[in-house]
Order: sequence, then C-alpha cells, then structure tokens
Amino acid sequence: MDRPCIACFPLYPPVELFHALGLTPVVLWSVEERARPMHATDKHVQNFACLLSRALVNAFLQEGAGRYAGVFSYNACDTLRNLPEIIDAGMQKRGARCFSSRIHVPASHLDKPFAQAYLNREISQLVARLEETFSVSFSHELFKKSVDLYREARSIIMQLGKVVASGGMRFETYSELVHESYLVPVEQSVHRLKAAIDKYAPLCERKPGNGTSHRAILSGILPPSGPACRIIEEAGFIIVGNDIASMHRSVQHTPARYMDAGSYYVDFYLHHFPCPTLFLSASRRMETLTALVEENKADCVIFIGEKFCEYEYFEIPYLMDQMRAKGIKTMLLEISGDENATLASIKGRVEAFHELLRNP
Amino acid sequence: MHASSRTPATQKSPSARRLTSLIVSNTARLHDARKRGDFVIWAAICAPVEIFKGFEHVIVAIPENFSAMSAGKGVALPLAQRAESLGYSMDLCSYARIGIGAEIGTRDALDPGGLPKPDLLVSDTNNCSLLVKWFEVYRQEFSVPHFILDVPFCYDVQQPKDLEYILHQFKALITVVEQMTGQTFDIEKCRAAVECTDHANKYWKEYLGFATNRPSGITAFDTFAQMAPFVMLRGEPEVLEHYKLLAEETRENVSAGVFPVPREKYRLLWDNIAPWHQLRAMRERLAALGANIVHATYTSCIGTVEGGFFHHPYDVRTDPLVHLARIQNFSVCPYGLSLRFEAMAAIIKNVGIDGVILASNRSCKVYSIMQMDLQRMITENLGIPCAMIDMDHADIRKYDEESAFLRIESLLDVIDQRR
Repeated sequence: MDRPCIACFPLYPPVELFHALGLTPVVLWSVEERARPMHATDKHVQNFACLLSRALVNAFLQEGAGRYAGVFSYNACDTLRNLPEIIDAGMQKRGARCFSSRIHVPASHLDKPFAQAYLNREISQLVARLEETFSVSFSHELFKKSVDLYREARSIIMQLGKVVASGGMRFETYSELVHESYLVPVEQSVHRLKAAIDKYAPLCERKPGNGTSHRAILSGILPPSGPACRIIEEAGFIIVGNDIASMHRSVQHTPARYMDAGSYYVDFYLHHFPCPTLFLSASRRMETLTALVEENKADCVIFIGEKFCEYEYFEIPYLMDQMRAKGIKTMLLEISGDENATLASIKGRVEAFHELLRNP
Repeated sequence: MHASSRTPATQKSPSARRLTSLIVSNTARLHDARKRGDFVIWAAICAPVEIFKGFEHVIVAIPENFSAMSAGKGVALPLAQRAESLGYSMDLCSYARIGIGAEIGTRDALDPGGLPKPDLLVSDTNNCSLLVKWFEVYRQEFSVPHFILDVPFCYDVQQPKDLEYILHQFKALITVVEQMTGQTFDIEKCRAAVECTDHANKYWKEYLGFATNRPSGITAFDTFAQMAPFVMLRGEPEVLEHYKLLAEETRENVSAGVFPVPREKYRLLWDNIAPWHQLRAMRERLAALGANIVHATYTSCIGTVEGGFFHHPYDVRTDPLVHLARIQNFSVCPYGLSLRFEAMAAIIKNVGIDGVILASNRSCKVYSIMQMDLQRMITENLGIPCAMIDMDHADIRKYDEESAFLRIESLLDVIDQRR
C-alpha cells in the first residue's frame, strides 16, 4: 500500500474520511487472529476480555509498527475504550511508536443538536490532526468520491448476501470475502467484490436447499469460524440474512446524499443499522431484527454469542424471548475462539436445532 | 503511647452504628416515599444526583448499591442465579445479575423484592457503559423512560468541549424531570446539595487522610463500608453530618492510639471495586499477617477529579451544574491508563504504600482491563511490588481465597526482602 495505512477499531470507524485524506483505513476485526496463540496480548489483557479485543491487540502488537502508520479508535464499550493506551504501552515496550487518534461518538442524544454539534467538532478536529500529521489536505470533492466508493463496496456486499441466500455462495466464503475487504484499499475491495458477484451470482439456484432446509438469520458481533459456518450450512440451514456487526450491520447504511463530513457522520451513526454498541439504536433493534426475519422469510435466528461481550449478552435474553413470542425459533451458540476445538459439540447442537425445526 | 486494637469485631463503633442506621432508614424512606406517590428515579452510582435535589418529592435509588449491599450481607447469590436462570450469562457483571435477579421475573409472596419501582431510569456511561445495557433491561421490564448520560472517556484532563457536552445533557435531563413531575427545577436547592456534598467530601478526605498515620488510622475495608452514605444519600445533610463525625471519631482514635491493625508491618493499596463478600474475612486474615490495606483507589477517588488525589473543591460562585459536569470523572472508571497511574502514584507517595494488590475483577472490565500495564508501570517506575489476584466484586463463586492469599503472601515476602 502506497498510502499510509491507519488501523481503525472498533466496528464502525469513519473510514471515508481517512480515505479522502489520502490514507488507507483498515478495520481491525482481526478474524484471522482469533485462532492463533495470543502471546503478545497475554502480557497486556486478561483472558476474560472478549476475543475481538484480545485478537485486535495481538494483531497490532505483532505487526503494528511495521504495517500501520497510525491507529484510530472511538468509544464503543468498556473493554475497547481501554485498548488505545494498552496498545500504545505495548508499542512503547517494543520501542515503537505510531500516530494515535481518538474521537468520542455520542453514545446517546445524537438526535439532539448539541450532540450533533459535538460530533461535528470531533470530526473537524480529527481532520485537522490528520492534515497536520500526514501533510495532507481535506477536500469536499475527494470526500464525496470516497463516500461513493464505500457506498459501492457496501452495496456489493449486500448483493453478495442475496447470492448466499439464493444458494450461489457458501456463507463461509462470503464471510471471508467481506472480512478481507476491510483489510485492503477500498478500490481493491470493490474490484474483488465485483469479481465475486460475477463468479457466484450465476450459481444461484431458483429454489435453494431442499425440502428439509431451514432459512436462518445469524446475529452477533462476528460470524462463526469457517468450519462452524460449514457445520451450520451442512446441517441444512440456508443463511438468508445476517445481523452480524462486521457484516450486515457494517454495510446496511450509507447516508443517501452528500453533505459535509460532520453532517455525514451524524447521519451515519444516527441512522446506523441497530447495534448494541450504538445506544440510540437500541429501541429499533427488535423491530429491525424482526423485519430482517420477515423480509428474508427466515424460520429461525441463530445468535452467535461472542463470549465476554456484555453488550450482546445483555440483549440476547430479551431478543430471544421476543422472538419466541412471535413464533420464531432461536438458538444461542457461544463462540470463544476455541470453537474449532469444540466443533463436535457445535455440530450436535446445530443438528439438534435443525431437528427441532423439522419436528416442532 | 501503646497502640491497641480497635473495638472488637462484635462491637460496632459509633460510626458503624450510625452507618447501619442510615442504611436502614434510607431503605425505609425509599419504600415509604413510593407509597406516598413520590417520583422515583433509579440512577447510576456516578449520576449527578444533586440535580434531583432541585425538585420536591423526587427520591433516588441506586441499583448498584443494592447489589453491593446484597453481596456484603451474603444474600446475593440466589439473586444472581435467578438472573442466570432468565438467560443472563454468568460472564455478565455480578452487580447487574443481582439487580436483575432482584427486580425481573416472578417471585413468591414472601420475597420482599428490591427497590421501589421506578418512574425514570438515569444511567451514566462514566462508571461503565455496560450499566446502560443493564438499565435497558429495567426499561424493558418497567416500560419507563431511560435517560442515558454519555460522558466522554478521559485519556487526559477533561476538555472544555466535553464539559459543555455533559452540561447540555444535564439540562436535557432537567427538562425530562420537569416534564415528568410537572415541577420547575430549583437551582438554589441544587446548589445547596452540591455544597453539602462538597463539605461531606472534605470530611471524607480528612477521614482518608488518617491512612498516612503509622500505623494507619483506617483500613480500606472501613472506607468501602463507609462510602455507602455518599452513594445513597449524596447531597443530603445527614451525609455531611456522618462524615464529619466519622473524621472526628477517627481523629480521636488515632490520638488515643487505637488502630485497626496495631502491629502494622505492611501498608497496602487496593485497586478495584471492594470485594464485598470478603470484607471481614480478608481484613482479619491480613491483620493476622500484620498487613493492612490502608487505601483503595475505589474510595480514594471520591471528591477528586480524573487522575487526582486531593479534594476538588466547589467554588460557590460557580454554577452548580458546571461543577457537577466537571466532577463527572471523579470515579476511577472514566479515565484511562495514564491518569490511573497518576492517581495511584499520588496515593503511593502521599500515603506511604509498601505494595499494591490489583484485584483483577471479572465483573468490572473497565476497572480491570489495563491492570497488567498498570502493574508493570508501578513496578518499573515507582519500584513498588504488586500482586494481581482474581476476584469478582459480588459473585463469591469466582473468588478463591487460598489462591488469592498465596499471591498476597508472596507480595509480603517481596516487601520483606526489599527492606
């Protein structure tokens, strides 16, 4: 990558802004790190932090100094808000330093002018800091182009989701493609995603699955590992949609019209697909998840519990209760990074759930 | 003067008796007020409760305090288990599980339940943001509004933009309470409450200051218990009176040579929420080793601002809301690693600490996820040995006394070797 690379976390960073300034933002979901030993993290973060945060610290400390020109973060949860300084401390211990920047995204009240003004100011200050550090200049024209590029990437990811629902592509392949797209420049990502559409769209069946198939929505912070995805599909589930933070939640909303950067991000976070980390969206979550089920004619929702993710785990009991009340079957699968070692038990649970749906 | 041990454990000191009386009367007051039709707010521990003193017949209950007291009394476990049976993961904060178990779902006729039912929920991201999700569970259960105070996390001294943002939210909160109660906010009553808290904090700091005495005039375990009035009744004259008497009583004890650990060999600092289920057991076992936890970051932060050690006073010429916004970062949780280190370094220097116990608390990630680096910074930069023990502030199932004391005794050995 010729452009300085900025490692961003968590979840939904303002990637368009970095891109418009001639930088390459990558979003550290660290999916590929999850199954690896976390020796670097073990020196800094206890094992009762979620795997996402532990993998993220590991990824950064292992390759951060050489690969990234800077790190950016915003507030999302109690664990993640501690990580910028932990990463910095880890880097210092390795004798390395890199640019670090943070903003606070109003967790509530973003529908009120004072919170919008606050976010506007956070964005302006971030731009000023990036301009000064990297000797670059912000332009509205370039920002607009960046927004269009990311909109295109997100739109193709949504289309690919439909290809998965129609049986043209395995969910595991889809997940790999999506997560790889966060680690490369958006131009490259658009190119790869388009190639995937060309390859997989023609493979869609008119009626995917067979008589024993069930249509499932996956919900969680991250998707299950590849082998676990395979188990779900081979058990007879078609993943017709997802409410995964690193997938559908990340790509569902791009503000419709161009505006200044501050207003763009007010719209971006205010109307974002509901996520437990965005408090203002909490009241829309059940309604949105139900709509996702109905639009995709799903039979069930499989919650992928990210162990130690408090935000998700506080909402899951309520969501499962409400889903059950609507006659939608649910299952909770907990993932903790070692799911590849427990595939047999995952297989047993998934097959039992499938059987339950067949013989209610 | 010969140092003697304090009153036997079975005999309560005057301040401990007053504390019990305050807790009992507050519980009765809350339920009576509900019966009278007063407006009940369930607030987060760090929410600016002095604002609510600007209204008549508005009372405040603190769910975290209820959970801590339940754990301290040894009655928390069945409540946590009830929440787990409702689907709430055992990995979730034990305060939340206890609070959910006490308030959600069906209970039998003999179960007194928890707090009087709320009209409004006010959560706050500054002690932890998971509390917002916990209060959301209450919102779903009781169908009452939930106001979320969003306090930016502090990596440095609070910035004016953050203070202004918090202030806007206070005004929005006042509007909500005005609309719901039909009253007009009285800022002078709020000011009086802020002054009251400020004076109480001054006495609190004086009380904590007796830790500098050798042997220490206090233990951190006492401070854990004695913080309850600050948590439950901030802004009320009884709190000021209580802390004034507490400081006086401690001064008299120190003058009379009455100390909690008379043969004090090791002066320790505790970093995390109190181990509520272990207050007496841990204090007594440490005392038998000649060790006293003389200070705790959890209680030292009361009356300060981010990274501070000394009292941050209220200037009466200042708008009380501005002061409340300024001190939103008083507790340890809303600030980051550098500020935490600053605050701990100040305690170590001012109180004279021999070693630090970092309680790695599975129920409080915001407090715990950074302790590994804190431990390294304290050891390398200050030359003070540390021990990290596994702990859960309110779930006794996640604490192993022998494992903890193995590490604590090793810490005492290291302190000895360095002497």
